[in-house]
Order: sequence, then C-alpha cells, then structure tokens
Amino acid sequence: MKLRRIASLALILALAPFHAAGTETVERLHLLIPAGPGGGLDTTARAIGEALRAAGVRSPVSYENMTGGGGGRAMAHFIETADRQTNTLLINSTPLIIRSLQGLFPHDHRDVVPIAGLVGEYGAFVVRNDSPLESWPSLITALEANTGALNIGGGSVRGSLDHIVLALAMEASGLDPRRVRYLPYDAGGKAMLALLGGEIEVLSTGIGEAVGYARSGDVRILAVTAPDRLAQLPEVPTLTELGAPLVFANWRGLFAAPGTSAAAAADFQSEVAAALATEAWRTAVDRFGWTPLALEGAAFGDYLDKQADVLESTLKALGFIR
Amino acid sequence: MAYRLTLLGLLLAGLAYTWLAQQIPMDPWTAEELINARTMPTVYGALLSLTLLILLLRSIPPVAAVPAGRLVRGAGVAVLVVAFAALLGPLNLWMGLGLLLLATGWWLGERRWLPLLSLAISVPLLGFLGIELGLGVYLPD
Amino acid sequence: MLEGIATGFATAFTLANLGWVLFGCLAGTLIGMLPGLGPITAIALMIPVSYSLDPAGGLIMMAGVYYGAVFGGSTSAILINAPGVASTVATSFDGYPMARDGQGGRALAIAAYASFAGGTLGAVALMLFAGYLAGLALAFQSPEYTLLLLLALSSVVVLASPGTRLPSLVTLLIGLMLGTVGTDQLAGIPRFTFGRLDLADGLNFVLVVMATFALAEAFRMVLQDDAPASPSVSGSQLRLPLDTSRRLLPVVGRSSVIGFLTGVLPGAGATLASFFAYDVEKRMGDGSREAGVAAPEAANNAASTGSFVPLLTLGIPGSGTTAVLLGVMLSYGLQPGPRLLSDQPEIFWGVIVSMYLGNLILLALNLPLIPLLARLLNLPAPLLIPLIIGFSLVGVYLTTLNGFDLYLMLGLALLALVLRWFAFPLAPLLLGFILSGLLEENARRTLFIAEGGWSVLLERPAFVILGILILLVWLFPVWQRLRAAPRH
Repeated sequence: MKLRRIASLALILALAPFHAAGTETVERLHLLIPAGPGGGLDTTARAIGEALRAAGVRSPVSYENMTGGGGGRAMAHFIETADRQTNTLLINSTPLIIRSLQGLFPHDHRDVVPIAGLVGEYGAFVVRNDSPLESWPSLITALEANTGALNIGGGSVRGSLDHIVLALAMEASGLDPRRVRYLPYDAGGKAMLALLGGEIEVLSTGIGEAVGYARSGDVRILAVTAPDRLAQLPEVPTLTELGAPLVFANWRGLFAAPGTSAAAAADFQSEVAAALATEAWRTAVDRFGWTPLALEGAAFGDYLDKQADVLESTLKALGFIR
Repeated sequence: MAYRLTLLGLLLAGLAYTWLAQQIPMDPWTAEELINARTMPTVYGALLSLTLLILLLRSIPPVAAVPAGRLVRGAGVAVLVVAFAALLGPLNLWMGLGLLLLATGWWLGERRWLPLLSLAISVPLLGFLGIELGLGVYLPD
Repeated sequence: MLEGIATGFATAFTLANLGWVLFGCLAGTLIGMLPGLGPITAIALMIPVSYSLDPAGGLIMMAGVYYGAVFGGSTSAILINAPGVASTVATSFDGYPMARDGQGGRALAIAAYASFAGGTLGAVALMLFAGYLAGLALAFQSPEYTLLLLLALSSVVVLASPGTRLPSLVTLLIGLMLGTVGTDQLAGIPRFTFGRLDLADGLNFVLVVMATFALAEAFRMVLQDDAPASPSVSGSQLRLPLDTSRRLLPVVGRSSVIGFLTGVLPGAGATLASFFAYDVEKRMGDGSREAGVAAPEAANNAASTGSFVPLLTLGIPGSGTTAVLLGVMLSYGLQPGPRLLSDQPEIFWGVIVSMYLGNLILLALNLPLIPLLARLLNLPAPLLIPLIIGFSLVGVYLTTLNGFDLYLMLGLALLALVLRWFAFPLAPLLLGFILSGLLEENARRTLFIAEGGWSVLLERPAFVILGILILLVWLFPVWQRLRAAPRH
C-alpha cells in the first residue's frame, strides 16, 4: 500500500511542471478562435496575432481553436471564464450576430467588449460567363417575370450569410425574398462548382471566392455589396449605383471578455492599432485580398448594432425568427 | 435472451428517434419542400424499426458467453474512463493520462511497477513535449 | 507537356526542395501517427513553416506533409484499430486482424508498398489526364452524388455475406442516424441536439471512429482476453514473397484506378474510394487479407492525388485537406484554377513531380520504421490495452477539446461493443455515419431541382449509368442464388 502511495506521489511530482507551464505571464496574448484550423477566421486570427507580435506589443501569442455549436461553445466558454481571460481576445465574424438572432446560442455581440473590426468581405452575385443574364438589371427582370425561375445557390445553410445577403438584395430591388429559390451548399467552393457545372444559375458568395474565377474569365460578377467600386474589380458596379441601396460586409473582428475595464479595453485598442500599421499585417491583407475595415472600439460596437438591426428585420421577413 | 433484449432496446431507440424526428422544428422554407429536415430521419428510423422487427422474429445466432468476472473487469475500465473524463477539469490532460495508464494497467493485472511507471510517465511526457510544446496545440486549463 | 514535366523536375530537384519534401514527409508521418491529428491539422500546423519558403518549395513540402499524414493514419488503423482519418477506416478491416495474428509488420509493409504504388500511379494519371478530368468533376452534380452515395451504401449491405445482410442494414442505419445529429446542412435547424451546444455541430468523426473501433476493441480485449499471438517482427515480414506481390499487383492497379477516379470527385473522394476498392476486392477478387489491406491503401492514396485535379484545374477543394491547401496557395498569391497551368507552369508541374518524390521518400522513410512500430504489439495486454484506451481518449479530446465528448464516446463504445458481441458488423455503421450528411444534402438538392420534372434527371448520362450500377448491385443476390441453385 505504502509503495503505491509513494509511486503515485512520485508521478504527481514528476508531472507537476506540466501544470505550471500553463500559468500566464503579463505580456502574453491568447486568441480564441471559434472555428477549426485553416479556415478564413483562423487565418485572420493568426495574421493579426503575428502582427501584434511584429509590432512588439504582445509576445508570445497563442491560439486556441474551439469548434462546436457553430461558434457558440467558444462564446460560452469566453463569457463563463471571463475573469481568467484578461489576456485573451476572441475573434468572430458576422455569423455571430446571425446565429444569436436565430436563438442558436444564448449570447450575442453585446455580451463581449468590441475591440476592433479588422477586415470585411463584401458579397458578390455571380453568373457563368456564358450565362444569358448579362447584368444585374437583366437578372431582376428575369426574376420579376417568375421569381422561382432561377436556382440561386450559396455556400451556407438557409438563413445564414449568403442567403441573407441575397434576400437583402432582392428586397432592395423590390422583389419578395421569400419566393426566391435558394439552394444551399456546405462550402463556397462546392457552390462555385455547382455554378460552373450548371446546377445553379446564380451564386451569392463573398468576393474572395469569386474574384479568381472572374479574372480567369469563367464567371462574371454582376454586382457587389460594397459602398464604392472596389479597386480589384473596377468594372463591377455596386448595388447602390444600380438603384438597390444595399451595403453589407461580412466583418471579422476582435472582442475582449465581458467585464474588461475601459482602461484595459483602450490598451487592447491601441495595441491592435499598432499591429494594423505593421508591414506584417499589410502583407497578409495583400496576400488574402482582404478589405481592411479598421473600426475601433465604440465605432465597431455601433457598426455591429446597426448590422444586428438590419439582420433582425431581414430574418423576421424571411420567417427565420418569429 | 440478451440478444433479444438488445434488439428490443434498439427497437425502442429507433422508435424514439422516429418520434423525435417528427418534433424537429420547421421554418417556412423547409415545410414547402418535397423532402425536408424531417424526411430522412423518419425514413431511417422507420427502416431500422422494421429491420429489427424482422430480426426479432428470426432465430437467435450463437453467442459466446462472458464470464461474470470479465464483466466486472470491463465495468472497472469503464469507471476509469469516466474518472479520466471527470478529472480533466481539476487535473491537466497529461497528468490525467498518466494516472489513467497507471490505474488501468494495474486493474488489468500488471503488477510490475517498472513497466507500469515507465509507461505512465513516458507517454504523457512525450505527448506534452511533442503535441503541446512542439506543435503548439493549445489545451484549455 | 514534356516541356512541363521537365520544368517540374527542374523545380522539384533543387537541393532545397528535395530537403523540404523529406522534411514534409517526416513531419507528416509523425503528426499523422499522433492521436487525433490528421492531415488537416498536420497541414495547418505546418503553415507557419511554409511562410518562410517560396511558393514552389512551400507547396512541395505541404504535399509531403499530406502524404505523410495519410500514411501515419494507416499505421494506427492497422496496429490498434484506431483509424484517425476516414480514408483509412477500410484499411483497418483486414489490417488490424492481420496485426492481431502477428502479421502487423507484413500488413504495414503492404500498406506502405500499396500507398506508394497508388500514389505514384495517381501522379502519372494526374499528369496525363488532369486537363480532361476537370470535366468529370463538373459533370458530377447533386443527382450523381446522390446515386454514387446510394451505390456505396447499397454495396456494403447487399454485397455482405447473406447471413449478415440484415445486421449490416441495422448498423448502417444506426450510422446514418448518428450522422443526422447536429445542425441540418440545408435548413440550419438543430436536430437531435436536446438543446445542447455540444451537439450542435454534430458528432465528430474522430469521436465516432475512436469509440466504435479503438475503444470498443479495447473493451473487447478486456472481456475476451485472447492475447495476440506474440509476433516475431523481423525484417523478413517486410519483404513480400514473389507470389504475394504478383497476386497484389493487379489488386493495386484496379484499386488505383477506382481511387483516382473517385478522388477526382469533390466530396468524400478518398473515403468512398477506399470502401469501393475494398468491396471490389473482397467480393470479386481473391478475398485475401493481404488484398484487403492493399486495395484501400492504394485507392486512398490514388484518390488523394486525384483530389488535386479539381484543386489545381478548377480551384475547388475536394476535401477538408485540399481546402487547407487552397488556403496555403492563396497565401502565396497563387490562384489555383484554369489559369494556373498557363500562368505558373513551374508551380503546377513542380507539385506533380514532387508527388512522385514524396511517395518515394515516404516509402524509404517508412520501411525502416515498421519493425519499430510493430514492436508495440509485443507489449503484454495489461499494458497495451491502457495504451489503446489512452490513445483514443486523448485523440478525441485533442480534436474537440470538450470533456463532454469523452462521456459520449464511452457510451458509443459500449453500444458498439454490444453490437459486435452479437456479430453485427461495424463497418457499415462508420460508412453510414461518414456519408449521412452528404447523402441527405445531395438528395434534398436533387429533389429540389427535380421538382420541375423528373425527366431532367434522365438526360444526365452519369446519372443513368450510376442508376444501372445500383440495379446491378441489388440484383447480385438474385444472381448468386441462381448460380447456386443447380448444385442442389
């Protein structure tokens, strides 16, 4: 018996340093990513982490990919353990607002402290190059004749981003978004394949998914949801100039834990601002073709509130929230 | 007997699943469709129940019996797995793993301390060094 | 084309790039063997390293990591029945029984040779046919996928031996049902989640496979105590007798073709390929266990190579792994797609040539490792069983970082144990689970499109061919009975 006790004691002693390795030092930063490694959110998190390190304001920077519950698990974990998360930032994106509006998880963006909006991606409406739909007005004309005539696809489930952007654009063009036939695919790439293969006639997606195919001449982008024409696609009109006033971006931004003091939040903000000015960040933005959003603290919070209002009325109109 | 009970249990689970499938909420889009969020689960549940009914009516295949002592050993291992999961919070993954290896080895009849301890120490240590430090995979505390 | 190949060799055969292939293969193999870390994680973890390389070097290294990780996954599938990647599930069907009979070294060696052959044949096919096959990926839309998936699911039930058809159907349906847990892929509605966030993303693949294969097997060993015949692993197991190699050669050839063609289709390419190849060899080939290991391994490697077709020619990732690779390419400012070949031929050909190299280096790297790995099985049961349990639990925890999943896993393992005890085959359960979401998604889209009229579907040639194949599979038992009848 005694021997056993000594042995387990020895084991605990031998393993004790492991636990100590987890303790935090002042300057470190931890980024909580509510998505698996390799995706857009993860890429953005690692890029901003690298920029924070390059700016010399944080080191080391660690990353935690916490999937589950469509991002809800990371959110819940962040809020529950807020008192231990003083050196942690959560990265998130537009689906946070959509999913909390739909009641898929109990928290929303007001439960965390907005630090900065980093990048945004505008929506694009895409057709095959040989499509008879020559322009956005011709698409609208076709839909006005028979709203259900075209299969319009997107890279996410009904009631999520691609569908909502489509619905907003339809509404802005005077059509009933509920009558549009939306076909969901489980990834933007699959939806693009369906467009190229002719299963769908129109694709609603982010600009990033479409720009390469537009350059290679496989597809044409009919319109984008940006406020002004984009530098990378100067020939593509915006919905606003086509008479359908809609500006919508899928943002990615950083949040601090609830209960973060105003001073601590201001520190985070200035650190992120320093990171956004680094060469490392600019290189990443160029590499991935992101559109910088550069919204700080309160401005980011206002932006989110406004987007939440727009989304709430759309989701209600679509029947996704009652 | 145990075979029939298992089939019966599965049948009940299949029926419960089919019933749950009918409770899936519908949005206005899904409801209009030929095949919606409830369709496939209903088909699976119904097919499963039907297949199990046929199997219940058939003869029992020969099954090896498990001695009671073995069942106790198996239950003990299950308890150790639960203990590992429960201890993940207070302990750390690698410490928990060390204890799990040690306890399970002991429970299964290994009485030599040297191999037991070397396994229980080296494997978590390698895991910690390789996965947590080497690859930088972050583990929550 | 010849010019292109020459460019490719020139790119891949620089000293630095050779070094990166070697490094990638080694890192990939080691990461792939770790619990819960598959090719996706391996590639994602190597991304920071790739930033310091030029595009060709970085992609060549990543291709090495990919192959290495796939092979590393086969190792745990064979040795302890713990396939960490969906595409190696079929390898464990015959590989693990071989390992238990003291043939672990032989099984690993066959896996290594078959992977090498499959990967190399795949690379040749990719080089010759990439341009033409892009059309195949485009011709395959939701209706064709639906039938392809139905074909896979029917095969596993109908082609099973007559006595296990109904039990196979039971486990297949349980698998399909487990696959419906979580958020509905089309409507975004949570199903069978009981309001728990832990279930909203569905059950993780690693969880289901570790529970039903590795953990359930550990429990079976506790209950049944048949210590594996102490294997004497020696170098001799690595050398295949001439007649065995001659027998396996056509198996590998057939499986590579099946694998490559299935791999070209974006979706569950490599997994479907390995199941198809296994089924074909077990039902129509000689049915030996060696063939049962060689077929899925050749097929999944050829399929991994095939999945580069849609990635390189259309810019569309066919699997989670190639999606991460796409991210890597984008980060270099490369836009994979129709113009990659014309704009940056050195990248296109460099990657392809590095595949030959990767496969060769992988073989050279792994053969010496095999005796060391197989020695793991020499551990006495009271030490081996805890190791398997620990491996599977840590694998799941590292994948989801959620303690709740461990309880779920134990429950699933006990269910699988009971099913196995009563001779229900578990392979259909896994296949059903893996394909459940894909089947439902594609079936629902197909019906959505067909609402206008069913004749639309009959105008699709691939759809009709697949429909006929399914009919043939269903007629197989009838044919079997007719053939057997005159003997009575």
